[in-house]
Amino acid sequence: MELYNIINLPKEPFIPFRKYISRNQEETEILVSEGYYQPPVITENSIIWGNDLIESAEKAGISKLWCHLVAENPLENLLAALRLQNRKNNFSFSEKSAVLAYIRKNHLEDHISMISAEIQDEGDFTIYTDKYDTLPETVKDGIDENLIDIKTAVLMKDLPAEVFDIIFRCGKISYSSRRIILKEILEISRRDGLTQDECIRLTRDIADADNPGESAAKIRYPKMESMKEAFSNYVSSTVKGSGITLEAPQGFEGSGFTARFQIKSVTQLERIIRTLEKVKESADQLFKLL
Amino acid sequence: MQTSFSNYSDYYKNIFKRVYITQDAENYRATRNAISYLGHLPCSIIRSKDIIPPEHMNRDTLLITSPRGKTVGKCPGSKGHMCCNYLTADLYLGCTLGCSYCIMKSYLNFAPVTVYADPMPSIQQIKSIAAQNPDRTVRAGTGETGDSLQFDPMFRMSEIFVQELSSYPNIFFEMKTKTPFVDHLLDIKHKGNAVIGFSVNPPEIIQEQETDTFSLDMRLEAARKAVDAGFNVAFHFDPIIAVKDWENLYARTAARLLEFPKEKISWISLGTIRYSARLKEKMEEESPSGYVPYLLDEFVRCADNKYRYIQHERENILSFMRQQLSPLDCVPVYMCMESRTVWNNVFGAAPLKSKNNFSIFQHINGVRKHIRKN
Repeated sequence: MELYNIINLPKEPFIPFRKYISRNQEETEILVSEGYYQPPVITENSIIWGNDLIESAEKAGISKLWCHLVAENPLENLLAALRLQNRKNNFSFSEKSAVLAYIRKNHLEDHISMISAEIQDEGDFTIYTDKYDTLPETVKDGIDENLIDIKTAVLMKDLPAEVFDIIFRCGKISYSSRRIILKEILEISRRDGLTQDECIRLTRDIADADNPGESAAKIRYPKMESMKEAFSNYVSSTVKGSGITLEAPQGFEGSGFTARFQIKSVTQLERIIRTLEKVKESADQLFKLL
Repeated sequence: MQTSFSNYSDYYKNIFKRVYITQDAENYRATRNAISYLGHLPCSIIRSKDIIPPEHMNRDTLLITSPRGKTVGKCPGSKGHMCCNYLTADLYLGCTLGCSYCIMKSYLNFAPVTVYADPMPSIQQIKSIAAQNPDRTVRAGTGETGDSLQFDPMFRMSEIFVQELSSYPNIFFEMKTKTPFVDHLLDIKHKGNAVIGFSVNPPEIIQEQETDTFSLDMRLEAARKAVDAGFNVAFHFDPIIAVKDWENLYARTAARLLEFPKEKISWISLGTIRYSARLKEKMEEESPSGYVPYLLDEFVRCADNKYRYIQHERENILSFMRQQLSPLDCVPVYMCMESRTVWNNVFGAAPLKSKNNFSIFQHINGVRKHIRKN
């Protein structure tokens, strides 16, 4: 290990791993002066590990750090960099994409299983990384910012990038609804043969609605949603406020509806009976939903 | 979709890339029959199917093996839906007909097409069940896990079933197929109540969704030959897919069945398209466009966790089909995997209250649900 002049070190990161340690000048000075730091690992041409420390040391006006100098060896350097990150199963897709680019540049394809083992516990990390690389930048950003999972993004790849952008920026949509709404937009677009512009317009309308989830579902499932609406209207006009709860079977799949009520007094019982009479008079409307 | 067919040798030539035969199946007659069609392929005799390399665990591989354990069971049916008590016998597991909606995709992905080359254990089990149920109709078939006749001209096992079961008046043995491969069966002398069942759909749907099968014309021509030779036939509208203009397409297809003598049609089944979440994923993966247009319709999750059209849509479709088939008034027409409510709304009664369907849905004693062996 030698004391290196970090000012002269090439600053191109070996792999652009995310920065996750931020130190102020005072912290860095104490660390370096007391020697409480893990020496960066470097080659003649790049920093394998320790970018964060080198960067904050430079900012603090420190020009020399103890460093490990290792030989240039693309495979060994990459494995060391991954191990030193100590973040197995926690690399972002943009990092995996950078690793894959490095593998290709240095012709390390034969070692993918060994490299994968440093990135994640199971499987070949390149499978979804390859797919990530084909996605538009907006979608990649969404994946890296955890707005959408890679699997959903890949399934939705036929949607215009603007659609993702609108949905990502819509504050009314939760993580789980985002997936559902995107899927519904894609299915509507395929079902109705929408052009890209029409699809974007549809997405804007959905995002602008008070409840984007409901709005998308109404367009994707018009029959089911109109049945739900008809039932809800029926409930409002017959039993609402009467003490009777009327429930439709799940998916309107079944032979009957469930009515629930409690009787605590004769007056209440009379009200329930009057309401049920009202239900009986308009029961045809109800049963045609099944 | 194939619209013409010249001979079996040509047909079988390019279906498989290799054959594995387990030692215990090597000397079966069915195995020897098949080898004459498959001699051009690399063939390995193996101790157990477990030694087939993973890269060969697919539909390019044919595995010929012997049946084990109980090979006959009740069709697994579907939770919350009426079961028709059909018995299924293991014979052909998997096929290469490539139907887009095939349920086998969701659980036979990494399996070779498997042939259980000894029909006798299944035959004995069916006989035993029939003996325990002398006053009931026992319907049994080999078409649940694969096409009954796609490979049968090679293996010639269906004829053994037909002959062996022909003397049992209460056994209706069905060979269910999407092929016209009946010629090898026509000369069987004692057919008993054997039924050749043809899966039917409008030509437009066959062309789009049953890509490696045979045209409706070819299937119906085969059905005609079967009837002329003295067989009973059955027809299965399953799955019915409500594509654009489905009423016209299905009305035209149903009309073609009216040409058959009613007394020779043992039954007609109806079932609308249904799928599990896993199957939908597989269908989308396999589709070149990444999606299946008819799945963009509206479906609801039913009690068995399978997705079906909305109940009253299904009732409309099934009632329409029933109406189209009404000239065949004495033929049992039943629905596959449908709920009691749909039965009531389409047929006006549960199956056991229907004169035509009573014998089909009557409980069979001494049989357990069939557990599929993957």
